[in-house]
Amino acid sequence: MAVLEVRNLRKSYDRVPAVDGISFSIEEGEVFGLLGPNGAGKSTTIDIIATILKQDTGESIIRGSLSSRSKPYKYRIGYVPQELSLNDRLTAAENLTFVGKLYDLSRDELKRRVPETIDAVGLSDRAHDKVGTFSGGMKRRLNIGCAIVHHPDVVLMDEPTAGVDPHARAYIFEIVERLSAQRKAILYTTHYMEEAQRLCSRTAIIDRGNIVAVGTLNELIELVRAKREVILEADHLAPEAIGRLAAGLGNVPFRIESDRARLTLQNGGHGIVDVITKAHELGIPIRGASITEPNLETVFLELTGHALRD
Amino acid sequence: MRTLRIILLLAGTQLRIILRNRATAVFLIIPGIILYSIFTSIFAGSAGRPFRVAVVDQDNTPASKKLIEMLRANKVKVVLHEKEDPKRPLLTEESARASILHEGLFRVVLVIPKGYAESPNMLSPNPHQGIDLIYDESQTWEAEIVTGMVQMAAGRALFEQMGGMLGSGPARRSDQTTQRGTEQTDPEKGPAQRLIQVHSAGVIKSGMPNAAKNIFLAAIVPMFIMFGAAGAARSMLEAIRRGEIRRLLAAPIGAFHIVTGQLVACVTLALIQCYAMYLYAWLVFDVGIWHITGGLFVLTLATCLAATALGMLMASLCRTAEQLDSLGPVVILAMSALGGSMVPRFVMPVFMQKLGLFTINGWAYDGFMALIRREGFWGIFMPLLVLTTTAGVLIAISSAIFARRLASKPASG
Repeated sequence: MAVLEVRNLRKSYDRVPAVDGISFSIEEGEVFGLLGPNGAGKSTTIDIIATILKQDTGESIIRGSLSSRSKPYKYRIGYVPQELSLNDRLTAAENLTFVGKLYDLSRDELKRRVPETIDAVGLSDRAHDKVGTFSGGMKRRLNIGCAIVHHPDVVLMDEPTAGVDPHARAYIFEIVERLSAQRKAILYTTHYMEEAQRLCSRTAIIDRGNIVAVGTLNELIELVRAKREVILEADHLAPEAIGRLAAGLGNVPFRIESDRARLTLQNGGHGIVDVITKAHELGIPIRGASITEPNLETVFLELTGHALRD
Repeated sequence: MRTLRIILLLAGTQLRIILRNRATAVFLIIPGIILYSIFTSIFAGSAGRPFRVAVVDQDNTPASKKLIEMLRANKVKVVLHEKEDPKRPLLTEESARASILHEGLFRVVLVIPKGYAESPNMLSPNPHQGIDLIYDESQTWEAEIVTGMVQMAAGRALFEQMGGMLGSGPARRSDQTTQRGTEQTDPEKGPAQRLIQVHSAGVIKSGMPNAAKNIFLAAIVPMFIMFGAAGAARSMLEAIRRGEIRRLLAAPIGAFHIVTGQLVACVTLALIQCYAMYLYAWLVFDVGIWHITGGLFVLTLATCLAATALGMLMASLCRTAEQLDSLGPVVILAMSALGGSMVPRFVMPVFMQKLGLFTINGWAYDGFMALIRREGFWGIFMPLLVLTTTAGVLIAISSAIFARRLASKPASG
């Protein structure tokens, strides 16, 4: 049975749909990605599941029985907001204690859970320091800690690495992987393809309030029969020459961008060596060549018609 | 029970955050003290006009009544204390008379002694006792004015007594001794300077006009709390804008808990600030607060609740802190002006006094003055009722507005 099941969520603002019939489910221990650009509806979806926003229709259910309309539902959800929701003048331990009390943790439970959580997010040596003295990465980690102090079944993470450096981001990835190992169901929203590829066992691609595809990375790539792209660099690229090259490779699609030519190759077809050889035969003076393997960004582009970062 | 626990948790955390910063704690206390001192000093001279004169008519004769009538004709606001109230023997004892002056309830007390009618003025054949005038030493000019008015009143009374006919002038006596003092008149020098002998006694002042120090404590407190509440409301709006309360919304609590928790924290802070002002007023200006401890606390609490609730309502109506910055001062200053926080209510025209009852300041002011005048529980009952009811209604409205707004606020992603 899925830990979290989301059914047909809809939410509109002034008749403009922000979330338009979104459904998915997350299993125990799964990190489920919601990948899309800004304004796609990721945060709105997560806010509805977290019961911060009220949906127009649809519902989310935990373990098949706890509806989002029921009071116990909120106790089973942990929410990591995109904004840092911490009190800067309190210490890390005090922040966790405050949140724990909101979830009715007893004194004994808090005594156990607060140090455990601080350990889990790697802030043991700063437990009694005020959050105002923390770096951005440390605050992000504590932000996650506040979502898990009460041992939820489901953790909702809304772009938890926003604004952090690569080192801090790597640490957060480790935390997410540990939470997954603890059998928590994790919903992870991001607009970074690399994060989704690294962390998520399954990813839903969301655009304009709709989920356009769901699956593992390989499934998504296969879904759109995503193609490889060879990029040729030269000082002067004549369109006619590149056209002859593309025709020679089987009439592959191409486009020219100033000093670069991009040729899209089918999976299992010609490789980069073939392209370079053919270009040389045609006398095209290339100075560099590279190949990009299909990824989520490619998938996104194929499915939605625009880039992830548009 | 859980609701109360969550509210106290939210309020306690908020208070801890605020008071943890020592500079903030100091800034909470000092401005109120400064404001009270400034306002009282600036407006002390004008507070209480037209002044009220308490008159004790121990003689209770047509002659004494005539004098009082003539005083009223001279636009003096006379308040009679003819009967002795066992619970509040305000004016039959010297100490009680001094007490009401000290409290600022009256500027001047006139005592018409028994036997006045036998010799109502210096022209009478019988020995003239005169009348007693007790005044606030910090406002000596008022005593002089009242003395002059007493002379005018006596003159008019005499004029009417004589049928409105001018006589040959006042009779002269070679010597005149009174029970309390002596005024010698030299027949060679001309007519007596005064018709009525006025025996003056000043109450030792405390360094500030008695009326002003009490009136402005009643006036400043509501206005100060309202400004503080607007500041707290601004912080709440900023917290919403920054997304700090999103986690709270995901927790098993509601908008009511959040708003009420904020309210409890603000009211607690406001109470601390008020009592800091009261203690300062008592220590420095000898304002009497210890005889009205219970009533002062409940009235202060009710005022803090109502003013803070108004701040919450303004925050719920404004979308941004900048909007609140524009709306807040206008609302607060208008209410304060109408409600008596800048000019005492009793100097305003009657219709303005009634308009002031649409303000928190007006009811708080009336409540405080009722306390000072020792009118007991029933004297402050209506202000308490209105203030607490206002607080309840405003909290309910602001909670509903916040709940609706927080449930519909779109996310960024």
